[in-house]
Amino acid sequence: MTGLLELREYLKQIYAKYEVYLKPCVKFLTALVTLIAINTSMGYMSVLKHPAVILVIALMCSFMPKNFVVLVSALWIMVHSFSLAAECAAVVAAVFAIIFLLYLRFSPKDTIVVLLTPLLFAFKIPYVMPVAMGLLGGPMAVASVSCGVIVYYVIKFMTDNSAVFSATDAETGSQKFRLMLDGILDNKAMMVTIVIFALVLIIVYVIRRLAVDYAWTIAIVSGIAVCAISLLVCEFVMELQFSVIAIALGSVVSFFICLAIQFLEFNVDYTRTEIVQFEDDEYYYYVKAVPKNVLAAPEKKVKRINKQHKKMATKQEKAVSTIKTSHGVSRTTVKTDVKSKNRVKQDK
Amino acid sequence: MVNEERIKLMTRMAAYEKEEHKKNKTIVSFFKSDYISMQTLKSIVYTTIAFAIMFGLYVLYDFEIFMKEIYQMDIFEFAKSVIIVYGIFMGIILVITYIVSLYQYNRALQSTKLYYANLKKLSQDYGEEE
Repeated sequence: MTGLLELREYLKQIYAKYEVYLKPCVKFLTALVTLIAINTSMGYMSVLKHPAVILVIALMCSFMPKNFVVLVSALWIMVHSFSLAAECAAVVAAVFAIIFLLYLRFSPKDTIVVLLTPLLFAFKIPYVMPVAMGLLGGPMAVASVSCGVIVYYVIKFMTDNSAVFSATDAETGSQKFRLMLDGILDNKAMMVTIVIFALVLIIVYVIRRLAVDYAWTIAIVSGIAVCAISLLVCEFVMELQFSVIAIALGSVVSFFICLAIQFLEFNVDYTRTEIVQFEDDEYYYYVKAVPKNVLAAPEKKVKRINKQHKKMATKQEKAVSTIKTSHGVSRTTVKTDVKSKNRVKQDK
Repeated sequence: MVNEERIKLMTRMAAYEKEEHKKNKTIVSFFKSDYISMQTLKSIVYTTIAFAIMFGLYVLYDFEIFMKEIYQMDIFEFAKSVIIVYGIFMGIILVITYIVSLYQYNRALQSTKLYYANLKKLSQDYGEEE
């Protein structure tokens, strides 16, 4: 545990020192991974799959505001959809426009959630998102996560039915359009996922705010359990073609990712909880104070352990070094040579 | 000698300035009623566009049937039902806009007040030192 806490402090120091360079790097990587993921799942336009194009766009995103990645991703999806069928592109554009006009205008900070949710779906760990937003955000994040789920299922429907959409003679334009809209509005799996994710987010949010020990851990466990069980029940009852193995493995991985988030964001020591009570003229106060697990960066300190001759003292100071660890335990290393000890005796 | 309290205060203020100050300053430059009215106006425009898109999708969904029936249907009745749906939709969005705008304004005002109080405290601190 001490090692992990030291690592966290070390990471914090690195981030503070190189923040200027790390932020563009993170944006670059986010854009790169997103564009590659879109190309892997859709990839109907070969020009957009060229590595040089992806790198240039990702590089451009690294110097722009973080929401620019979302805009580029939306355009990327629309261009691929247009390459598949113009009707698909029209429906995708309409869905994005409605999401932007009705929701993202109010909370532009949550825009990145709309991008990350489909990305996590692509990595088979979408359960991280409702739990993480329940831990770090508020109940309003339900809308952002829901928008992300809608975007994922729109893309999924297109890719699953790409053969139908790409056929030129089989379907007329209006039929393709109707098929696309039906695919969104009658998508039971999407509706079920939205409802379950909203439920999980609210459960996690409510539990983590409770004044009980290990509230965050309980919230994570409950969130992941509710999510997995609800999805499995819906799968058995409604036959939504969810993969049971994917749900199980995804839940386990998501659990560990959420624990990592907890470690970085909310790391407290419940064994040192203090409950104090005091009063003023108007109120009685019952206060529960839980100390944070904070570890100071390791530092070297020179300690003088006995009175010595001035000249010898300087030699001794160099020889004696104390490494003080953050949790109060001191390890002392003493290196003295025999000659110096004898001289001290003679002086005395 | 480094004054730790002052550094903490300045760091907090610098972080606020970097993240939110510009946005909050713009919000509190309006009166509360003006800010809410402006947001409501924006919402009317955005909601109308969104409704137009949704109506477009509805029409295109059964475009051929719609074109066949348009000559037989009661246009006024149809327009009336569309306007009622638009009104309900707009009403819901406007209520949400009012609540969100009010919350945003109050929070911006509170943050700005705190920022100026910290600024005053810092100024007094420097004054005492001199």
